[in-house]
Amino acid sequence: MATDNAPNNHKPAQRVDIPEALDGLAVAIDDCDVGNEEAFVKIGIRLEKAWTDLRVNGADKPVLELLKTCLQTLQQIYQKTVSDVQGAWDAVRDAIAAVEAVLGGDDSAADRAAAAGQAIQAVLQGDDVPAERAQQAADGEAEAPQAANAKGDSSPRAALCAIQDVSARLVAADPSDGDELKAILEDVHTLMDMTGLAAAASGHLTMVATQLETVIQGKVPDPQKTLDTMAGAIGTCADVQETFIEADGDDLAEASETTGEPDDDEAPEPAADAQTPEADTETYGPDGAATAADDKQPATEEPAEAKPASKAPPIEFPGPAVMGEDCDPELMKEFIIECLDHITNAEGALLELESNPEDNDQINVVFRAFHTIKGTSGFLNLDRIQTCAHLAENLLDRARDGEIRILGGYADLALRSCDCLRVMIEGLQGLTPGDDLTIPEDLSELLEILSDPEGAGYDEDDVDDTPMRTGDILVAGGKITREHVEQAETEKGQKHLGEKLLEDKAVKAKDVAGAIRKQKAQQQRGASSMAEGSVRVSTGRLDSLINMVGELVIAQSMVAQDPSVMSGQAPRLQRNVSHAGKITRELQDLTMSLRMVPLKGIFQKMNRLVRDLARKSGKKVKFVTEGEETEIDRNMVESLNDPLVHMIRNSVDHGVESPDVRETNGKEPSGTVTLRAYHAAGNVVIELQDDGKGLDRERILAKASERGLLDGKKDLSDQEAFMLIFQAGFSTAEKVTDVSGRGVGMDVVKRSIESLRGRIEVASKQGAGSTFSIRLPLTMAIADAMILRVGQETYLLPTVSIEQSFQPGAGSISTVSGKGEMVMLRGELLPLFRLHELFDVPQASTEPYESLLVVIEGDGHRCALMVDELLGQQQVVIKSLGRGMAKVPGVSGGAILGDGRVGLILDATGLLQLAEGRLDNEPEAAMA
Amino acid sequence: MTDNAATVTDTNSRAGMYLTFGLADEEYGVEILKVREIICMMDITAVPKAPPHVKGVVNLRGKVVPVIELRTRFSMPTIESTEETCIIVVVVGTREIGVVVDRVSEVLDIAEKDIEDPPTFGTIVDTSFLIGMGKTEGHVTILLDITKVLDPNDIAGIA
Repeated sequence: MATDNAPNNHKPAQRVDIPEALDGLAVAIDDCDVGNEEAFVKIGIRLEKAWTDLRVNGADKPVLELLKTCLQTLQQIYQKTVSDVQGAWDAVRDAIAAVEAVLGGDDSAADRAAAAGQAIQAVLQGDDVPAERAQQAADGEAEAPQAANAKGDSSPRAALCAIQDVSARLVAADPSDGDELKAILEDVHTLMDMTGLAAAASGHLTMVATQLETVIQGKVPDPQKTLDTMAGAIGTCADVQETFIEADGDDLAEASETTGEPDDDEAPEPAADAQTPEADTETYGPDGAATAADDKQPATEEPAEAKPASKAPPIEFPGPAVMGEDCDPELMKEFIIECLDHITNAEGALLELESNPEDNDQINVVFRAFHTIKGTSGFLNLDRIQTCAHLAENLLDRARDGEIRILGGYADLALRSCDCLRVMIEGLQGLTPGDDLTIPEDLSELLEILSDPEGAGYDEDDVDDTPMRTGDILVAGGKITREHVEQAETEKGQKHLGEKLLEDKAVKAKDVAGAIRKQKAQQQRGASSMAEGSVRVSTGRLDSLINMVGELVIAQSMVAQDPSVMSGQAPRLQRNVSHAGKITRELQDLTMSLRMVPLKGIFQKMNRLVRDLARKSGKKVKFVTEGEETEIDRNMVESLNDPLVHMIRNSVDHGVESPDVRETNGKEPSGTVTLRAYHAAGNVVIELQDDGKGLDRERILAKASERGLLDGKKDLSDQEAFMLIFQAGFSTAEKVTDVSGRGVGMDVVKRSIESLRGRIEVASKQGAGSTFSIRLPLTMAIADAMILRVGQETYLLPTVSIEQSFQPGAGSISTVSGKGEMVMLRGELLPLFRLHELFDVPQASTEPYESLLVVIEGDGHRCALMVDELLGQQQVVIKSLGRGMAKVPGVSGGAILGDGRVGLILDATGLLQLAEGRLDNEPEAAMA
Repeated sequence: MTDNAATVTDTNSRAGMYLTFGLADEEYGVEILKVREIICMMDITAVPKAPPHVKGVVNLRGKVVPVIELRTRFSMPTIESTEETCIIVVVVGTREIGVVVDRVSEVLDIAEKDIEDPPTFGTIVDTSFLIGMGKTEGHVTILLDITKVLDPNDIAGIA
């Protein structure tokens, strides 16, 4: 540390020399008030210098050790990770006095020194791992004088010391010691938050932090080398900071030696980077720099925005809105992916905060997201993104300090920042240097609001009561009925729901406690799942892995069914083969699950949507999600987005009534929309339930007959009537809003669900709400299919398109003009098509009364398909017929059968078109 | 890949390694770089409504690959498959296509001087998909431009 500060008159010589730096240090410590930061830092510098000198002089090892311990202790006090500050302080003082005595030749002092060392250890051991305590200590220790400087320490000199400390630790760090590296990383982050830090230094630190993170994650082939590079970067950083201090004219007594001319590049733009957005943008003139620098200890407790906002000029950016020349496309790509991840996490956390604004973990997630984006974008010279992230970070910082709560307007603001950042970052994709950057129109407005949220009228008002989830848990556990909870909810007043329920003797205390524990556990689970590591793998590789495993399963079953294995003459072989079979099946399950992702992501997006919609339409809507951990094929998740958006818009816009209407109808003013997912019978069911006004059967029927959709049918069941809303162009909404009501929507929903091989159903009760259920296969890649035989060929028919199969009774088949066949099934006439005729399959049975008829449905048409027999049901992996093959009518793809052959998968819609198309040509033949 | 092949034939450097195979009594050759692998004859799943020379699809280690009967493509009479019948999987552009041949012979390195331009037979035989005639050890190998043989424009049903 600061060796160039060495007093010139010092002559390194004999070991007994007391370094001047040490002389009287104990007294200085004694005189020094723990809270007096400048003096404190001075002591630190002196102590470190003494240690360096003694080491150079070759002093005794115990002495060096002791001094080093003292240094570390000081550092910990400085970082506020020591709970017993005064105790540690005194111990250090004693130790140094002892060292002075030892060096002065007092032999008996050695014991004192040893005792002092133990005393320090004792004080320190009272503390836990420093890194974890840092935050708490900073927040909690109001009685410790330096807590006044809580976080973001101010003086540039202090920042320099901290930089040098980090540098020293980094050099000494063992690359394999993850905890130590993490502690260093923590320090680097703390450092980056310091206001006295030069802007230029902050860039280096960001880089170091990023590299350090990769080292910790073990992603670096040669950690030692990377650590060395980082140490180099920190060195540069220290130089920059030093120059900055010189330029500042900030002179702390001992720091007398000038290291060189102030660097002209660095000098004009020092300012407090972490606090004032303008620092990066160079709109500050030299005056600004001077003001910021003179203010050695900015009042960090003041809201960060409050300082510059009122007099700040509108935020301007010096650079043109184009991509910099020097950007590295690889780096940029990673930046984009990483930032988008962060934004997604932040959005999730923000929504979580709405219901639990005190959740510090979530606040930290959001804060970290903005912080990282700020850091990396600064590194990449993306000043707009940086500024936006920076201002958003400030907002979160205030929330972290407990000054504000991220609710209402603040939450809007934070979400808007997320959106804005997302737009800007997504706009970076595929840009080459010189291309225009995407700048959202409302960016400057947003930045102004962010600089002074209160001034722009944003605060935490406009808050709905947060839902009591304890009640939900109790209901789910069957401890109490929903009605009871709701009643208690309305009566409970200021009390917690649990208390009220206990008073009513409705539940046992044990159950309430259990529910609350469960609630906590859920929150913790959420936090821990975030820490789970992941690797990005291209889908191509994943697909071939799944293919190979599929083949392995087939090959294994071939071996297992081999006569020499089955014969029972080789029991050991049989046992081994069956063991291999077990492993193969597990492997298959595992590979299948690789494609699965939880619905959480999409549910979160919907949460956001409901929130925005409700605000826009002036309704109060509680959005509840259940089973968001349900997994579904990743390809399907994307296709599921649009239908869900449509449905949720419908629910919020048409389903849920406005608060006053609800109250007149005796409902709670705020409606509930529940999005729920669960597994049922090998399918994933996604249910969207609202407690709104429900579907109006009469209106639907009236509208349908007006549009001629009823085909003269009367007496429709409710189900049939409700299914009419899925017809194209059908809307009963009286007025078209910008949200929904144009009548495009539900038919699109139905079609996209069907393209996922799923089904949609609706149940509704007028006045009480409606429920839409989407039933989807677990994955697009796997279909449940019936294996059917025609002649020598086997085909697969997806079970979703099969209604039933039956053997025609005698006389139930009649023909039209001797050719077109019809079959009578329960009073209904169905066209009959013979699959062997459609596909020209030889050697098939031609006698319908001996064959099997399968009723298939596709695209609203139905028919009976004649096949020889059904062989069974199987789950098959769907594959395309290869790019070399043209589209075959009536065939949607192929699947590998149990014997390794390819089975063709029939496509009901295509088959019907093929069959009906044939009918179009047939009449001529029939007439001829 | 197609482009490369075109360049190769344009500059007349037709020399190179050829995989030779037999159809009836004739020997054919196909550029080795276009051959992915050779597999034994296996059960082929017929595809309805496909053109006659498209025999169907097979399972190539979990991938579904269409298979062409070369005899039918060349309007030769079909025969029952034998022990020697093979499927050569060739890569055309990004597509993999199986080609059924009577037997696979060997890999030949044919020098430019041993390759002659295909003779013209007028309208009797279409020679547009031939690279040339390779003369080796006393017999003639017909060098096929497999890309043109399997040209989607020529073959309905293969897109």
